[in-house]
Amino acid sequence: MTIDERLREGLRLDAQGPDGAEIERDLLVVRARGGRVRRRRAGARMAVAAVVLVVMGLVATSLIGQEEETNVTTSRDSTWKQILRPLPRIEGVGGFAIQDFVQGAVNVGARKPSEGATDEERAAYWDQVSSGLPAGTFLPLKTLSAEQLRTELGFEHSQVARMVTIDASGTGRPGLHRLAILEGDFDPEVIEAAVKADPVWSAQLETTAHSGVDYYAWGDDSMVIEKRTPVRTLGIGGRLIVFDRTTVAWTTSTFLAEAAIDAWTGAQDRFADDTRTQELIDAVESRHADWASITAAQPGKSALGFGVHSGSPTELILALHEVSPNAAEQAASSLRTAVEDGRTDEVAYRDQFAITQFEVNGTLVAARLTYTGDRPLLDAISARRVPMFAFDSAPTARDPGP
Amino acid sequence: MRTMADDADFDELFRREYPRLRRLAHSIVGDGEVAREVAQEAMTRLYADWRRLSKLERPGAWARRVAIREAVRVRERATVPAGTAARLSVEWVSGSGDAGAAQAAAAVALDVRRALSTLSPMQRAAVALYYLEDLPVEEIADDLDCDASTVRVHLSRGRRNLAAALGEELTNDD
Repeated sequence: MTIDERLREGLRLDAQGPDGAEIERDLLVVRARGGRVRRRRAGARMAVAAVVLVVMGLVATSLIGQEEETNVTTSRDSTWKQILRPLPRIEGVGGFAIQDFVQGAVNVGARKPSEGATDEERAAYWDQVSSGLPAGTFLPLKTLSAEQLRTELGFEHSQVARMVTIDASGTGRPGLHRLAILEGDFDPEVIEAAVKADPVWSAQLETTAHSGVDYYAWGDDSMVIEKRTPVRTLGIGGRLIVFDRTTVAWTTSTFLAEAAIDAWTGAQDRFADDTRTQELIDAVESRHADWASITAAQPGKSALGFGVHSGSPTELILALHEVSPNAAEQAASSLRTAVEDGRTDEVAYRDQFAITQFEVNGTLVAARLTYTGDRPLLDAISARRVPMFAFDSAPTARDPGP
Repeated sequence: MRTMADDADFDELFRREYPRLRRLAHSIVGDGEVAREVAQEAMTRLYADWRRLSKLERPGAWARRVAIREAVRVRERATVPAGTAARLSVEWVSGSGDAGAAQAAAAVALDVRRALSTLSPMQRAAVALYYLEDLPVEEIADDLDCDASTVRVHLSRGRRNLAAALGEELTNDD
């Protein structure tokens, strides 16, 4: 074999391409990302137009700040960067949960319905991409119909690409404090028309402002108005912030509405500003999780990123930020032992889990495991007497569910 | 407004060109996941501006140039040890097919992977385009944004370095 033949053969074997299913999944990713680029460009063009108008003295400058690039720290070009921009870091809240429906579609191989699709086709798609979404009482996307969402909030499931939630209830403030930030493709005019025409809630509607950002509010803070509707299952009017055409927030409280606005404008700390937290986010996102719970890193404490990659098989993604390289090595060893060998008197996890990727880099431990059990993944992890992983003392992320 | 016909054209091009971009990027960056990101990035840029770029004679070549530039940039900034990339490669190759054939293929691939890791990013790109894509020197020059004589230098030095890394001696016939 000549050197040229050897090189050709080696390159061909080494650089294997994707198979058909992978090509189709990646096509979905590219179309979703390309669509976002187009929308950002449209937003940038609007910002330029606004600058011109300001120079001409015709409009207020408040529009410009909404288009400014976030200064959230990222070590890579993160798809989750946009949705984390208005997520405030709240004292006493241990972390947040992210549901990425676009990544979910890629992971399970679901194809987004075309513009002319029927409600039934859209509902079927939504069922596929939201399999990990728990039913809940706060913005229960899982159980709402498209028509119910359109009526009360002016958008529907198929417009939502991803969602992040936090629960700040019980952190020293009376009332219910839950926040959902949604990223997608929203039409502010359609939203305004919907909330003004809502047959039940429009009578309570007020438009208020914080730091130059308008938002919709229904009733006093966390007030139960005794009108239970599909979106407001708790009878709380809520607050709706339309940041721009890609990002909206829905919350039960004025406190969180204003905190989200401040985070958006950069006036308040964000979870994603912290480098260690960002590294956890990166570790989970880069492994294509479609659901994740991220614990906010605190000085001197370890922190956990926990993700799920839906599909066949389902994959568990773990990212652990330890306080020192030695602690990271110990945590990595414990995880390997628990999964592969078990303890002296326990059953190993290897009957249902297999480690397919494992990495220790300084204080960060990252692992990917396939799961082949029949029970829900979270049950499979929590039901054993020996925990698969443990981390030191940081509060558990509170996921309020949708 | 993007039309269904626009999307169908893009989908067709994607299915044809994307696997080639992945292989090409993999040869340059030396890591499957990074190659995937590189190829996706090139295709994302193409899709984001598809109405304009679809009018090019060969939009796939435009995406290839973007992917090559991005792959070379990533490689120049890479901090992943070569041994790590080689190990990942072996796991990937040996993950399919029967064990014996996979091991043999992995050995061949690993040799070339190790040898490739000794080349500069531009040499890797030139070698990959020449040996993997079978492109003529003039087209490689176009992709790498340099002239043909520079490509010949990259190929000559790259080939010599690869031969040395593979423990072979180049003869005049080679």
